[in-house]
Amino acid sequence: MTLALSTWLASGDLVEVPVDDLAQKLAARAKSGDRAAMRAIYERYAPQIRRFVRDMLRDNAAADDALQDTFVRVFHHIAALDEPEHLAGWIFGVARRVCLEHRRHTSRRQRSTEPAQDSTDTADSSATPEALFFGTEAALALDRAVDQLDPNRRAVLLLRCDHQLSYEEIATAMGFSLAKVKVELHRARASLREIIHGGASR
Amino acid sequence: MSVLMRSPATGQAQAGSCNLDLDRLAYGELTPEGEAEAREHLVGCDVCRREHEMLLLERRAFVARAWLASPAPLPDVEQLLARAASEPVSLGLRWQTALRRWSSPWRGAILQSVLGAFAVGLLLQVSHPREAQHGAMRAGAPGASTHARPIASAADRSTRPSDDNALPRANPESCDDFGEVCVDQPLVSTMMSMAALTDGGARSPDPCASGPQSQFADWSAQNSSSNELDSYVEAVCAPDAI
Repeated sequence: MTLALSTWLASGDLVEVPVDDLAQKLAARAKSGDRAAMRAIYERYAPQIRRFVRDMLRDNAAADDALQDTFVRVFHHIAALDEPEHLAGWIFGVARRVCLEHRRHTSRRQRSTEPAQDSTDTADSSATPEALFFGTEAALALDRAVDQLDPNRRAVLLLRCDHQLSYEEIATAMGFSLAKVKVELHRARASLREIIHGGASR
Repeated sequence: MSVLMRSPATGQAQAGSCNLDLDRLAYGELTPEGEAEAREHLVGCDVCRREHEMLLLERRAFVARAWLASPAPLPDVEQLLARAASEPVSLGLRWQTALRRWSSPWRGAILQSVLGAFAVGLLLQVSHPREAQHGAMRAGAPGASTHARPIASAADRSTRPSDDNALPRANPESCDDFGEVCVDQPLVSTMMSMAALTDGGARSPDPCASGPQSQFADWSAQNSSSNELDSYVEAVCAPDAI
């Protein structure tokens, strides 16, 4: 990273990210027990959450369990949601906690995790032109590099780069301050580049 | 909104020390003015331009990675809703939800004020024991007091400087028709002296007094000098005192 961290952090140009009105309305309705709103939240966020928990757990079976646990908790606790405008951050935060519990549970049972490379995650040759442009190899290289990151940094990087959450939502999901989100993101990017460049130079 | 650090001398953007939020630029989160200014800066700053290109490349790579992972079928949402509904709601969550429903800015402010006042009162009560207070009760007239405060309880200490021990005491006093005060030796305990006075004047009349006597007990949370006690009893004895 070429920017000096201190000056980067000192940047006061925080822009109000446009609030996702639909998500906010869905959250408000779901809080009052509207099941249709809960279904809509599921349809909107479940694919992203599945990818996130799979990236965090690196195990498809565990990811399926974690996805279900995440949404059961989301539906169960949605009445206690404080900030409907940060619905995405809140759901990702629940998913992250579920992943931590799964990992703890797995390590307690000393069960070896299987690599997350089953038939559902192999490269899809009918992907978009963008995916074709970058190629399967590049995506797999990125995937392997992400896998080597520290779990917290991996989560921050994925939330930003893969799921494109705002800093505020990442802070909600991770329970970090905005400053810490920026620092962790900066470090995650630096580590990722180091891993990729290290792999490429070998 | 300024997103650049400019040289004070030349006004030109300083390469390598730019206060530019390239990440927000790459994700389209800057305001139109901020973005225009940032793009203007990128034209003249190789370092920032390279970094910006790296961020865009990284972003595209993540998009490609997401596309390449074919989606797995999702579990049925109805089952998850049913599971969520069947889970018992914890007491903590109920409280949390009820509090959230009840809470509003003004209710929160009121609650905080009340709790704050209660805490301060409690703190004062603990850190500052009751100030010296005197009370008096005429013999045979329980509850008649010169103070709104009730007659001494066991927690009230009534001590005299001459007392040797620190047991809570009430000090029987008497006052004759001429207002002369006679301070008796304190009884053993507050309860005893109260009992002596409230049963209609069980104590024997004081020999040093002239005429009918009024008997009192005084109590105090702190040591009081004899003079203070005497003047207090004199005041209590005044015809319009009780």
